[in-house]
Amino acid sequence: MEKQKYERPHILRLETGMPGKFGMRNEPAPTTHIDGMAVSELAEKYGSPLFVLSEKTIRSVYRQAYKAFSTRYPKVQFAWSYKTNYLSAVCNIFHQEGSWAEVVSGFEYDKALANGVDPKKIIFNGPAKTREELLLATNNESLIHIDHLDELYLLIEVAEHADHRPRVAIRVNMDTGIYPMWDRFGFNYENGQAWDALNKIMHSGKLDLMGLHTHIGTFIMSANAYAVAATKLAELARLLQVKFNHKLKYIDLGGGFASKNTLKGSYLPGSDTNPSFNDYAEAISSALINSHFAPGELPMLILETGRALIDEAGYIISSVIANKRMSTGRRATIIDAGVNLLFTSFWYQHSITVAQGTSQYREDTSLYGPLCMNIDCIRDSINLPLLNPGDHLVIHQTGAYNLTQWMQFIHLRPKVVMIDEMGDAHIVRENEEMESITGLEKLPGHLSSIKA
Amino acid sequence: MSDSIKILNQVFRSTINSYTMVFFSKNRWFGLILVLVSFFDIYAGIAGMISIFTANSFAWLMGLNRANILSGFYGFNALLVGLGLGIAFEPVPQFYLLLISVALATLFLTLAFEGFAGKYGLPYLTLPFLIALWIAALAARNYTTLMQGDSGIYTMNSMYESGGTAVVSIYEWFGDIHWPVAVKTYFKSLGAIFFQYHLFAGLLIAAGLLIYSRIAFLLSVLGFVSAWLFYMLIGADMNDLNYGYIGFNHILTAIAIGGFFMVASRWSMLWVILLTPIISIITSGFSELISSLQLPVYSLPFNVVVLLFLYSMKFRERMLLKPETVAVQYFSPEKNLYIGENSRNRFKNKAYVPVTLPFFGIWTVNQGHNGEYTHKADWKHAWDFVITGEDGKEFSGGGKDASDFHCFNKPVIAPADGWIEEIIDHIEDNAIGETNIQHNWGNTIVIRHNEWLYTKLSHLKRGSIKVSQGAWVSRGQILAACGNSGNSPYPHLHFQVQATPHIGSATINYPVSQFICHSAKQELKIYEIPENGAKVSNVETEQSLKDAFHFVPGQTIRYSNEDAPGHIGEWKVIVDIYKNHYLCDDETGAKAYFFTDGALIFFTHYEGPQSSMLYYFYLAAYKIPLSSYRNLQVKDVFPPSSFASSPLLFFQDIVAPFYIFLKPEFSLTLHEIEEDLNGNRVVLASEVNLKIAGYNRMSYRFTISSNGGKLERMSISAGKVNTVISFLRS
Repeated sequence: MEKQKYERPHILRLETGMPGKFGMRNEPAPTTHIDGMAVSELAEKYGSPLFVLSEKTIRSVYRQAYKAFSTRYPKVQFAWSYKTNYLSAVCNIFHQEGSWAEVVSGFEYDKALANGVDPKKIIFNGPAKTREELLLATNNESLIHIDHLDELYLLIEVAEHADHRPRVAIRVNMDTGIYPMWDRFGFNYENGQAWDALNKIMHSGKLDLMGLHTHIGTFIMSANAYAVAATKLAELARLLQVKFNHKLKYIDLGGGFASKNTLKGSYLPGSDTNPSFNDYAEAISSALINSHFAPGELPMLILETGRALIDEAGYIISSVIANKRMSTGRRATIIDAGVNLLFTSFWYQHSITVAQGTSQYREDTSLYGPLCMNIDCIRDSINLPLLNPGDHLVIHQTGAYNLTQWMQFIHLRPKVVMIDEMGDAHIVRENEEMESITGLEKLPGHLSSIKA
Repeated sequence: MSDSIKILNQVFRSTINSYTMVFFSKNRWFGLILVLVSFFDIYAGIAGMISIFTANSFAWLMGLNRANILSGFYGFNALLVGLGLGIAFEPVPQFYLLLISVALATLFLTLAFEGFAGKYGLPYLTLPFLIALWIAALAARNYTTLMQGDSGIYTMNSMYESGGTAVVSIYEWFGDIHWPVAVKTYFKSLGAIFFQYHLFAGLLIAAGLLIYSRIAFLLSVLGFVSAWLFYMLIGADMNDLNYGYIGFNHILTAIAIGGFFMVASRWSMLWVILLTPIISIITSGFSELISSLQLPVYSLPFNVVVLLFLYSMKFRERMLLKPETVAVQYFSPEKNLYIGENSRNRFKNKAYVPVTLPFFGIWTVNQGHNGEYTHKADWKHAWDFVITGEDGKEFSGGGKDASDFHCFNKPVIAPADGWIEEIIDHIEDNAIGETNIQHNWGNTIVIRHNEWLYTKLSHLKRGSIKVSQGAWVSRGQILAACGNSGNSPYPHLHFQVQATPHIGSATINYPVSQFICHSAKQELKIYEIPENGAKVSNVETEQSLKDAFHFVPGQTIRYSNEDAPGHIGEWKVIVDIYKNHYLCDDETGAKAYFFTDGALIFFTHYEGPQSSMLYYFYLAAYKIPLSSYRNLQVKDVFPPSSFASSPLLFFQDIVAPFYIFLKPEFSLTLHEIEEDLNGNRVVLASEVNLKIAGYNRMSYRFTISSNGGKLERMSISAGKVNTVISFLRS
């Protein structure tokens, strides 16, 4: 018989009375394995904390999303949003599945090129492109999404010296009933800026207007907002066709689909309330198909979905450092993964499960990270079983933004491993070492030694 | 080409074809031989030529169809009349008056018979010649200035007149030759067609016939031999064959029925044998009848038998029974056979209205034709489609609710253009597991695409139908959403093709024009039936290929050849009055015919010299799909006549009515694709291989590239020809 696990003694307030509105308390099962690999073994082999990515999940979610759109619309193209997660291993899975690349900086652009993406399949977004970057993208015939008039003028100038005509679209912002309205990017639809910019492009005669782009916000909880956006872009496309007899190649509805994470302050879990790919696809496809486009002449629909495609595939394996009790008597647990690794904990209530079997006893706990900073709180209140130092926790749905927005702050960043479809783990990013940080540093001569 | 050369060329073509058309041919070498033979009697030859010129010039001036004139259709009867008169009368000036008048009358008779027989889809053969010559012969008896010629009687004299002693000695040598009587009679019968009743003429014509067509030659022998045997068997007077050389009726009938009007096969040959006694009966019978007028029957038996046979064949209800009627006439029994047979296989789907799959994306057939659940009896040719997930299941979640099913509420689109015939849109969707057998088909749309062609989409979601009865819908237009109404325990789309407009009509076996089958790899299927379990999707058109191979009449395609620097070749896109489209190279006179069915471009036929670059384009682009998939592969077979003649082809021609062993194969793959929103660059690689008993006799390799919707380049590696031609952007 296996040795019984030791649990520290604790005193629990007796809770009596009716079960809650949703029945008895729901206790998530321990996450002992990720894609068939034991969490404890992963932690032992690669260290703790540890980022884990599931290739199987990435591909499966992508295919679900693609299916949701492709069974509703004849020509669908996803473009992987680099800023969401630009680990090359991740990008290449999406590219293998057929995704283009959507980048927002020269660095990301170069990264996409280095990943072997056909430059004609790179969409260059963002408000801050330099002249050099524009020239490079133009010569590569990449798709440049213009954000503001100054960029438009700059691009017309660049076009004079380039080998090819710039292939452009404009980013359009609009009122879709969503608050906040993201009007800091692109040209406004309602006040006519967008139509004005399109006229400038057509009259310039120097740019190839390929499509229209919008990105209405992030974590959009209403699919209908996309229907509004699609309808407005379709109207601009119709106007272009009427005035310039110009047919657009694509309509790009950007990203912003919500993942299954639960936003802070939500009463119900995100997996139940957030729109599904089917909901978004239905809204967008219906809007475009019901617009003026003839059946055979629907433009390509581009989607720059990031978060909703990758969130689910990311996990952080973390270990308990210590337990303590706060002044109020509230239980607190310190783990080795903090906001330095889990940027998204500022707005999500991440689902966190234990990695080993426990008894049925649980306690509301505050979960703190390892930083010596007050802000380093992963969950204010989470119902967890009784943990001992060294026990493992698994933080779920961490695939989006954390691997691009994580900080080297106080601690060095850990390894990232990916579990392939055969169930084998591969390191896709090494942990940082002292040299990774100090190697970039330069010491002026008079500071090279601390001995005066 | 200057105008005078052009006119001379047309005169030459119309004249030479008037000679060859007697043997249903347009072969120039054969024509030159026939001209030579006709001039064995110099005055008859001249009379024949004058007669042709008369008929053709009047035809031209009267504004008759020029293609017919150039093909010799209006000249060959006049030629025969001219020859007949030329042999019969002395060449006095009054004779030529008669000749020209009779030639003109022959033209009128030709037109009369063309109009009359044409209504029945029958040829006029040499009926105009018969009537004209008979009437002229009878009438001439009253014209005192005309004198009966003696060239037919004193052969030596006329020989000597036309060629001197040399010709006479050749003639004598042939006269002395000790060949079996049957062989001699065969050649003399051939000569008799041109009123030259001697061996030498017959030998020359036989050689010409062999040059023109091996099958025609074989048929001429078959017709003659069966006649010979029949006469022996029946115990008739051999003189019938021997003296009047009426044997040519058997020869011409054999060629006409055996390979010209009917596709050559063992069956057409059997008919040649079966018709032999009938020819003989008609010959003997009519000879008795018109002997009172002292007229020979000439080619009357041939005309009567061929017309009777062809007319009878039109009453067949199954036109594809052997022997088949030649559908497109190539004036060569070989081509009629090879191209006819080849086209029947290549274009067997041309009769179908293209019907595509009624949805977006990849769906799975979960009940196919002759399905195990409901696709039985009258409704066996139907499909049920669902969408399956990564796990192979049709639903996610519990599958307790219709909305758990991947296909539920997905758009259903029009499979082809048509009118909405009928709609039902009020039947409640079922709970999962339950069926509504009162309203078997549930919410349904029936679309009329054509007379006798309807499609039906059933079990649609209640209230989802977006079109109204009588409305015109285009292919790909959204009609409704997939639902779960009627006899449907879980959401699926029922799709069937039917010949009648009713909900509940029986299904017909009709293929989907093109789709992609997604198994381990993607496969392009053309006019096939999606099978149970198959994952299928519609084909996305490759716009770049579609644009590049969209040849617009009036357009000129220009190219430069690596091997001929500085020379710009031109192909014109031409459409003729029969709506045939072809590329024409004026320089070489080459023509490559093509057509598209929306999914593929076919090159159907090539005529002209095989040195022309257009010939290689025809070979390389024999069948081009207008879609591009990684492992796309297209296959086809050429008719053997698409390639230069060789001893092998000669042998093939002889055995062709029985077996075709030369099957040059065409295959095409996608070599490379560079995607670009402004038009992809697509490189196709095609091959022509001829394998005989595993040994590769011929292996041609081509690549054709299109860039941004324009033809870019073609590389040719075909035997001695290795070059690259670049198309100029226009």
